[in-house]
Amino acid sequence: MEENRDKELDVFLKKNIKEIRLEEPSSNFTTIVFSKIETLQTKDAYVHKPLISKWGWGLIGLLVVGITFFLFDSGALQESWFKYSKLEFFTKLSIFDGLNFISNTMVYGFVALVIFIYVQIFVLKRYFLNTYQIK
Amino acid sequence: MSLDQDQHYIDKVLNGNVGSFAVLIDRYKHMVYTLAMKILNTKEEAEEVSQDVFVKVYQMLPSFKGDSKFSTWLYRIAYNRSLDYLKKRGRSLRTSSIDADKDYYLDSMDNILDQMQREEHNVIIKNALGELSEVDTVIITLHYFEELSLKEISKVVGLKVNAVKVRLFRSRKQLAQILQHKLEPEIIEGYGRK
Repeated sequence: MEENRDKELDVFLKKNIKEIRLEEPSSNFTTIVFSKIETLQTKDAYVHKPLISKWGWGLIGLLVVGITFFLFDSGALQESWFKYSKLEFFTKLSIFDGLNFISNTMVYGFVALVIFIYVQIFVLKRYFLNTYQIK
Repeated sequence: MSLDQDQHYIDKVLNGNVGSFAVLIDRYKHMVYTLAMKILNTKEEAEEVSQDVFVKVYQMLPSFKGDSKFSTWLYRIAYNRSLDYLKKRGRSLRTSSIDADKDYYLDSMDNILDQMQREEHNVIIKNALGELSEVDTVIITLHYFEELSLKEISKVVGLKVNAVKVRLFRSRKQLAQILQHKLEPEIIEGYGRK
């Protein structure tokens, strides 16, 4: 009984619902979708390539380490070399002696400011990268 | 639309003929847009989501394995994207509290709907559908417009086949109640004339 009634209802709804049409999207729907796909493809074409690749950095690192070891090993670099170099001059400098008027609070404030600026650089960099979707 | 016909155009798109995607868009845009409208209820949002669905489908086309019909796969993406959009906007799905156990008079309703102007008839049916919950409206739409099987509908809405069957049965009765309520003045008037 219940099943028959449901079947009748099914027929009734099929007839009446089928009569109404599906919703109509905008007339330029397909064109808009295609322009979105095109934009996507253009974005994909701009692939960011670093100037020096990871392999390049690895090679440079190896070279630096290799040269350093070679110089130490061959005796070209010796402790005495630093002793007589002009670098010794810098140890005699006392540039901070003239800055006694700067209080600790000012130093802390300045350090905090520098940290905030560094944080902002990373935040802004990420924001712009996301905005322009550089992949 | 047959599976082979869709696959023909899918293969063409995958082989670099992007223009063939237009055939698939034109074939399914009405249904995708209708599903989005049933969930989001505003033309602008439904338009935006439907366009994004086709862009997403274009990107994901290489991963379409053909395990189900292209249309089922597409409708599932449309359904999920619409729900995601709703969630992002902080909105939730409606629940319908219509009593499905009351009696209804199919013959009287059928006669009155038959006598109505097409425009008026469509408004009544559309409004009645709008009173169901979004998920039930989607199930009804897929069942009556697309004539999808219970299994296919279950794939689209991510529910078990039995759950879809129960929801369909209850939604039909709720729709009958809503229509009965909307057509009551005409039904009474009809009896008065007799």
